[in-house]
Amino acid sequence: MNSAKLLLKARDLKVHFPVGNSWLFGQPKQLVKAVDGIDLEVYQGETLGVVGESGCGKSTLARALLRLIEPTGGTLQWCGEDMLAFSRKQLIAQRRNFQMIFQDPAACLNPRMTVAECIAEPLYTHEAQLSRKEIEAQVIQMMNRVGLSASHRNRYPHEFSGGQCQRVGIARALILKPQLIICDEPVSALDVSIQAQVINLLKDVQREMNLALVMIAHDLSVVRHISDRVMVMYLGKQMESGTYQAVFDQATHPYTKALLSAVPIADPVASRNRKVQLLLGDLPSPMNPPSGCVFRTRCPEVSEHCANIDPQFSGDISHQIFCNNVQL
Amino acid sequence: MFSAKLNEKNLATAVSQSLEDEVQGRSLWQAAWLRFKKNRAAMTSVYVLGFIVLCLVFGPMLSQFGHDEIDWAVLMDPYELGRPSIASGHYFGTDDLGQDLFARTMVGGRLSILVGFMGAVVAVIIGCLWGSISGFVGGTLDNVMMRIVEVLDSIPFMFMVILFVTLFGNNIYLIFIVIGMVSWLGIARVVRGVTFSLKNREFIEAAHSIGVSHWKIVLRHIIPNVLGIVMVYASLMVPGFIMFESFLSFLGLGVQPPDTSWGVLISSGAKTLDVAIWQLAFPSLFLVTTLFCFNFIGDGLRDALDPKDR
Ligand SMILES: Nc1ncnc2c1ncn2[C@@H]1O[C@H](COP(=O)(O)OP(=O)(O)O)[C@@H](O)[C@H]1O
Ligand code: SF4
Ligand SMILES: [Mg+2]
Repeated sequence: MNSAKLLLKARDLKVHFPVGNSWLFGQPKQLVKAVDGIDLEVYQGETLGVVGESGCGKSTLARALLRLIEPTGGTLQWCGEDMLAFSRKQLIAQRRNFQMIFQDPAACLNPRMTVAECIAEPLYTHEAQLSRKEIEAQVIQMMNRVGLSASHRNRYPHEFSGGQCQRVGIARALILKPQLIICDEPVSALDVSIQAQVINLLKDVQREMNLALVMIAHDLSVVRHISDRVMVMYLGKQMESGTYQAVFDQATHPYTKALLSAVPIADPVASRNRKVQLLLGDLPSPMNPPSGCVFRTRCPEVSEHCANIDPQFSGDISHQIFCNNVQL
Repeated sequence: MFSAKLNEKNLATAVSQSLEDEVQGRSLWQAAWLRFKKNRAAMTSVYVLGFIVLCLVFGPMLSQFGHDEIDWAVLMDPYELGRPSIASGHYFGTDDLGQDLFARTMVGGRLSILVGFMGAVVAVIIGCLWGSISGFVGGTLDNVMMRIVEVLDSIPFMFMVILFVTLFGNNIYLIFIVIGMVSWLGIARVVRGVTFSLKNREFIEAAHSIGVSHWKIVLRHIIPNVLGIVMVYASLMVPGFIMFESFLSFLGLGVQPPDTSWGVLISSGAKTLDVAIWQLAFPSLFLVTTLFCFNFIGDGLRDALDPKDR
């Protein structure tokens, strides 16, 4: 894994949204700390799973990693270059190397464009020298690759099912042969029966193209079998991260354990014997997160000093957790 | 590797395969057109309006008199001799000056409809660009652009018209300029509002993530998606412009003789209502029919383009 090329590296990445019209009423500006100090790396050809409840900042993180939202703090590197220092022109030119797949497959396609035009848009943008014939040929080939009938290419998104729309989205992301694709909950809007097909398609093209994937999901079951490494997020912060084996088989952090116990398992004996640790309460508002450890309001292992001290880092390169009471 | 697969032969077979069984999709535009065609009132209006436009274009050729030609024979007693009659060649009668009303209604209609369309076209072009840029960029630029719209909107236009007329004299281009100035403000507001809600949609974000330039996003993604609403709005605005021109002419601020418009004809016809009803009746009939047609078409477009809102 570590011999592969490092594509994307984030250090202490922060996205704080100011909220409220404070210039008018003179209130102190409040901040939504949607992403608050995330470290991550993505290597060529691997899959990084990012897991967290809805509203914990996963989509914001995904957009910040691609500079669709400007990070308000931290550093971001693409192939060793400072991505935050890219000029607008450079950034646009670089966008062909990293693409994104969105959560709502129907909403991510322009309803007034045929799917062929949707898929070809990256080519129009980055390969303007291609003739119409060449573009059409590439679109047809890509549609066949993602399992769409190319004869439907002059249809419009509203004539396709959700799963097919997501395939169109995947084709659009793949057509420039990027090195990295960030998938923001690519299957959570799809029927369960379609989910596996889409995930398998992503896995297949990943192998063919030596593609790096960042797979974002709100539960562990989606990232379970496809991630090389996993990061667990809570309220904009990193809770536990590490290799797939480390996080799934030796889950240590109280939050990860709670998440894992919510995932159904196929083995009935193991299922009956395991201790289910349900999370109580709701996600606190990111506008005023709990002091100390943000997870302390719902943590089963909370102790007094969790309110005062930030969670301590422990672990090594293959497994890291942030917690005061549990250490690796 | 993936790229190795992209060889000539594969492409050729892929293309030829797919050409065999093309499936043509039905775009939202086409679907809307099918719904529009089912709307009786709107379709009738289209035909009626088409007929009126044909009349306006070719009608004057059928007339034995020019629109500014005075029939001296009628001038002795225009209220008797100027009655509508096939025999005299004055199908719609004449006005007080013995000018043929048929020719004048046709020629005047050209101007009225031209003003209506002009207003709509100017409104759509300027309003769309202005509104979509303002809504898309947001922030300070949005603030500035929308304040400009408000300032322009707050100027009393009658006052401006009177000012212009005294400064530059009375001519028809003035009407075009004035209508151009007012017409786009409403559309700019509407487009800005729609753009605001569109710009957070995922397909716009997808375009950003692909690296599409802002300008292309506005042209390729925003404008096609606001055009439906804009068309409805514009078609409902056309009658307003025609009325506005009539109003200006009614006040004597519009076109000058011997040119004419429906507004001018109606205003002079209204003065002789009791003795020569035809002078009012024919231009009004055309004007009212046209206004109705535009309103029905606008309603039809709205229903066709946005079936949810019915
Ligand atoms: N543009 C924004 N302005 C203010 N707050 C935002 C904005 N975008 C997201 N947030 C907030 O950031 C938090 C994280 O949102 P998001 O990244 O969408 O979560 P997830 O994708 O994990 O469900 C939420 O509380 C959301 O309300
Ligand atoms: S630091 Fe405390 S509250 Fe946070 S996860 Fe660890 S034990 Fe729970
Ligand atoms: Mg999300």
